[in-house]
Amino acid sequence: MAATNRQLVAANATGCLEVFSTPYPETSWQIPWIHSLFGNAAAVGTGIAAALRVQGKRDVRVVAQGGDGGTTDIGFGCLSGMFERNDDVLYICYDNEAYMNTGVQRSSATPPAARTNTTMPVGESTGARFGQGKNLPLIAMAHEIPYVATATVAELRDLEAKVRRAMEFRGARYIHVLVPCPLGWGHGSAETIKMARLAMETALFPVFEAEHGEVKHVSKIRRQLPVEDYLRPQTRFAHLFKAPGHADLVARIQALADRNVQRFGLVGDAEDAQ
Amino acid sequence: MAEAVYNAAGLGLPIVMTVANRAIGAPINIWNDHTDALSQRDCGWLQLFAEDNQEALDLHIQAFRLAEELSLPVMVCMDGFILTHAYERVDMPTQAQVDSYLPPYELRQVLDPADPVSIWEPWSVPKRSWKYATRARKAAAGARTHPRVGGRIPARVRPSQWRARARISHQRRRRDRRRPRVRAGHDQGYRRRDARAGAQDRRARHHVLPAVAVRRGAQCTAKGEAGGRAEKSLAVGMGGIVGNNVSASFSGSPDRVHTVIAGLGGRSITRGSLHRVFEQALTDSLEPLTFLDLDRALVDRVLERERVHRRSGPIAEGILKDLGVVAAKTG
Ligand SMILES: Cc1ncc(C[n+]2csc(CCOP(=O)(O)OP(=O)(O)O)c2C)c(N)n1
Ligand code: SF4
Ligand SMILES: [Mg+2]
Repeated sequence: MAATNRQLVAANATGCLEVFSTPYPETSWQIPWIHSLFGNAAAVGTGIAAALRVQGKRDVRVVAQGGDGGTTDIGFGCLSGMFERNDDVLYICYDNEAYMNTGVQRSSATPPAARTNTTMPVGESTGARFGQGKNLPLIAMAHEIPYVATATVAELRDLEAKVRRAMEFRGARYIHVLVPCPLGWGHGSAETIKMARLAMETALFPVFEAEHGEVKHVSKIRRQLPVEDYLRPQTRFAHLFKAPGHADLVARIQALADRNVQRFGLVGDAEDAQ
Repeated sequence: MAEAVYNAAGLGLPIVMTVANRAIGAPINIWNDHTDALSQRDCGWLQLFAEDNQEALDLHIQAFRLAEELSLPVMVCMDGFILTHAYERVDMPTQAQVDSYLPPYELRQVLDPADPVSIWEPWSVPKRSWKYATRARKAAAGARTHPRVGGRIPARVRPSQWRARARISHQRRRRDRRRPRVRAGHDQGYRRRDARAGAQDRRARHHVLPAVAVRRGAQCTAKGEAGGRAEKSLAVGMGGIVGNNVSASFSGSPDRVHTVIAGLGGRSITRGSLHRVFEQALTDSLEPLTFLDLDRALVDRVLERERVHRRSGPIAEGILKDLGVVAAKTG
């Protein structure tokens, strides 16, 4: 809000954020805000931007936001269209890695091996399958939109800086924020920030900024932690560690983290531009 | 997509959407019928059907007026291919004419940082009251658009400023109302041809229908004469969609009302076929629900096979097999 001097209109997809922020007849929003559907936040944002353009209100900015389900699954077509047209909207995805509002179902942002209510580790199953899912930040970059960034709730200053940076651009922008969900991940509420930090420090969630399809800045990890440090405290991964355990799956998850390290050059001291 | 259609009505957005009507697959079909739009008839939108390109233009301007007055979204339906790909000379109103008919739009709800509001459909708003109010609003739409009901309304919406003929719904040949006919859209040149059967030409405006247009169309039928409706849509298992709406608002004997399903999937509606149907209607030999030009023998063979084989597979495949068109794989 500060980045736009409160000249901001928000569109919101259905999901936890929408539900807990607007318990009728109250609303938590001090900016103009609209909820239409689960899958069309990006399209509503596009419409608002178009209306503001017609009215010549260039100073009023538009943000559209949704959960990972609303973004990577049902709202994906609308979002890709918004990117492709380069509509002047900042889209923020709050990624808690499942459909949490409806009781923890797998989305295409759910990590492999995670237990959700639709990926129960029973019988042969070991939780969400490997090799599925979408990496929305990379997909956004493939659209070559002006600005793409990832962030976590562990680094609020970083998130704030990225929102400010996003508002310096016109056109489609995308910020993907990792938000641990105590209920769905199975950790204490007090651990939320810690989980987000561990996701970053194990390299499972790379934090970076990209402009026009090119990575411009990476938040470096000084010492990469083993993924086990991140997985163990969460009951959604408990089946990996219960006897007899699934060391092979933990190794596969470690390989995913190591791939991120290589791909983004995550480990190192300097936080320089690449 | 269907959910967004409901949502726009629920949010009271005065959207005008052009719909190029196209048959819905499977089997895939790129031609015209009305089942697509009519499948959305209960979404809370008004639906207007254009007869020709001139009317498509007129209806758009009228639609904005309706949408803005009533805070209801409106579809302007144009028959795919038949109208969307047709060239026709049209009268274009001047900007001044449109402006005098369509006053500047006053926004009812604004997302303005200077005066922030939250807009959503809170689940605790009593749904019943909301639905009732929506129903009343649609009835109002019907009244405002109908040239007869209440007598006073049509001038409000008729853009007589530029074209006396432009109306939301039509009534023709009032001399003979004994055999009224309800229809929608462009139906290929037969409307003025059959003087006896095409007695009253009620351009059906769906879902404005139940309250007004349909009832008037059906009233004449109630006086004891047969009425008819030709339509390009089908509610599977129920018959014609328009037909069902007509029946629902019709207080006379339903067996005096005939529905003819024609032009599904863009099938041509020929004058000859219509003449046959009208003749049957006049001699009381028309069935209540008739599919124009149906190859009865073919359908019967398919139905017979289905009766014999429990798992008979997709219908289209069965028909093709019967026709010997392709090497169908179903048994
Ligand atoms: C079309 C449609 N399908 C399903 C729902 C039910 N629904 C509401 S919120 C939600 C899940 C939201 O998940 P996500 O986008 O990840 O947001 P979260 O609640 O996890 O923050 C679902 C399935 C809906 N509102 N609309
Ligand atoms: S804890 Fe999880 S389920 Fe509860 S509001 Fe937060 S994201 Fe939603
Ligand atoms: Mg989620």
